[in-house]
Formats: sequence, structure tokens, C-alpha cells
Amino acid sequence: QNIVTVCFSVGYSAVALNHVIDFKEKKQEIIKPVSPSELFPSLPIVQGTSKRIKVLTRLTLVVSDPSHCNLLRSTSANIRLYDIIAVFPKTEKLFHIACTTLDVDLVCINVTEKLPFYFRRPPVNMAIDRGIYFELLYTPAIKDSTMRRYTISNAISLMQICKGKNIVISSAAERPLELRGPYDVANLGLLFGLSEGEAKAAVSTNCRATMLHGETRKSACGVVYTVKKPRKVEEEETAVPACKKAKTQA
Amino acid sequence: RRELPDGGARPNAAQFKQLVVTALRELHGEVGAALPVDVLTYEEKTLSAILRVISSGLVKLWSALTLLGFYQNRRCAFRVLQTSPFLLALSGNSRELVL
Repeated sequence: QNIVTVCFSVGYSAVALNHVIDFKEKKQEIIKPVSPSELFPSLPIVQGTSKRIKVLTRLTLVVSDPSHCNLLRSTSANIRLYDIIAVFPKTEKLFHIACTTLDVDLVCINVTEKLPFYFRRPPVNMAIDRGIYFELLYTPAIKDSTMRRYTISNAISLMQICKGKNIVISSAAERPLELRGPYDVANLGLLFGLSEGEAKAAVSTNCRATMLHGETRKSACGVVYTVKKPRKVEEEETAVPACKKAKTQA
Repeated sequence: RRELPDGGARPNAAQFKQLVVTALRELHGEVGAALPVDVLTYEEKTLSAILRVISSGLVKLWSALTLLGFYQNRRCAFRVLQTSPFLLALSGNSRELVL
């Protein structure tokens, strides 16, 4: 996985083109009460925008049984180490639970086989209200043509229910050659039925919102992200009183 | 402009065109393969090319290239470096433009 990280950084710095891309690293675990090992030291690499690539950690829980969800609450000491938590539900009940009550940031939608359950509108709407995003993977579509069909069909059925909101498209790439650039992935969103703005958001703003949601989850109340405002605003404010004076004189 | 990082095989211009058409056929079928695509330039050294397509076919072509996984039983990846309606714009990076 170390090699993959390095390759990813190299690949994205070539393709990024002044995008700030936050690279999410996936540590996948099958459900066993194994405490996740500590993050290996990852190298931040300077990109074309003179900003470093952020490497986040993320945990995906493959859930096929309601008792697996208890892991989320019990081993919280280890879970704190991860920035983003995602859940991969395998049954309809679990999907419902994940959307409504579980404390996660992402709900993965299976793309490699026919979904055993249909999406229903109430849990999806509740997830959107809670700020949970649905994740689609695009790497199986590169590997195999049957999986391509399943990816597109599942994605389209998800779009029909959620109307394109709260979607994140990500890659589960295991090799550097399976990675695609950000605009390519946004184009794939168009294939899935998103509109153009939504497709681009699926790659950029929604991902960032997921990150912030993860931070919110860690901090237990909320996150306010502040940006420095340029000095121009002050000049505009001083200009306003002058106009007012002119009006009163006239 | 597209760049093709490969495992080791080096297609020539005709094979490259064939590759593009195959990608279109795999994703969009015969209708996709019939989309008129022109290869304007092709450099074998860097494996990069400039393609031209009708604007309504851009999404199809781009998605087909993105999802192409194999060339001659070897993994490959298409990297789209730039797209623009004007050929002149491809020579520079518009994000780093300094006025």
C-alpha cells in the first residue's frame, strides 16, 4: 500500500492541474474485532499549486449483520484514528439503519453485483438531511465489462431516487494505472445521469463536505471553516458612507 | 490532448485509432464506434495524441477513453490532459494564465 500511495501522489500531481485534491486512503477491514493499526507515515508531496496533497485515512466497514454495527460504537478509541468512516451495507435493513442512525460519513453503494435491494426514498432523504453521502466506485468499470454494466445500472437507480444530490464518486484503485484524473471522473458522473454541475461537485465539493463531516464527527459539535477575506472588502465599506453623503447633499 | 501511459507496448498511429474505436465500441456499442473521431497528431515517443470529435460526441468519447482498461492484454490508462474547442488553446495551460 505504501507503493500505491506514492504512485497515486505522482499520478495526481501530473493530472491535478491546479486542483486541490484530497486523496483518501482506504484501509479496508472485514468485520473482526481487530483494532486498526496505526497509520504508516505518509509523505506529503508538493503539487503544482504549492499546496500539499492531503492524505486522509478512511475506514470502510462491510456490514452484513446488524451486530457488526456495534463495532462502530464500542471500539471508538480506534475509530477515532480514522478521518472518514464509510459503511457498506449488504441488506436493505442495514441500508436503512446506516442512513438513519449510524454515525458514518459515507454509505458505499455496491457496484460489482446486482443490488439485492431497491433504494427507497425515505432512508435516502433522511441520509441527505443528515449530511451523509453516497459513494460510487468507478474502478470495477475499468476492469471488467460485466461490472461496468452493474456500476451503471446501480448508479442510475440511485440517481433516480436521490436526484443526484450527495453523491461522491471515488476510485477503489489498487494500481496506479487504474486511477483517472478529476475531470475524467466528472465526465463519468455525466454518464451516470448527473447534470454537469452535479458531476463536478461529485468530485470536488461533495468530497470536501465529506471530509468536514468527518471532522465534525470527531469534534462532536460542529466545524466552522474560515477563509481569509481579501482586503478589498474594507475599501468597499469605506466607499459606502461617501455615497450616502453625496446622496444627502444632493 | 490525450496521454497514454502504458505497460510497455507502443502502438503506432493506426493502432491508436483502432484502440480509440474499440473503446467506443465497448462502452457505447456500434453507435459509439461509428462516431467520427480524427487523430490529428500522434507522437509515438510520448504516446500522446490530439483527437478531434464533434462536440455532441465529447461525453461519449471521453467516457469511453476513461473506462478503457486493457490494450493487448495489458493494463493501460488514458489521461486526458486538456480539452478545448480551439486548437490554439491546447498549447498552453489556461489555469496558469497570467494577464
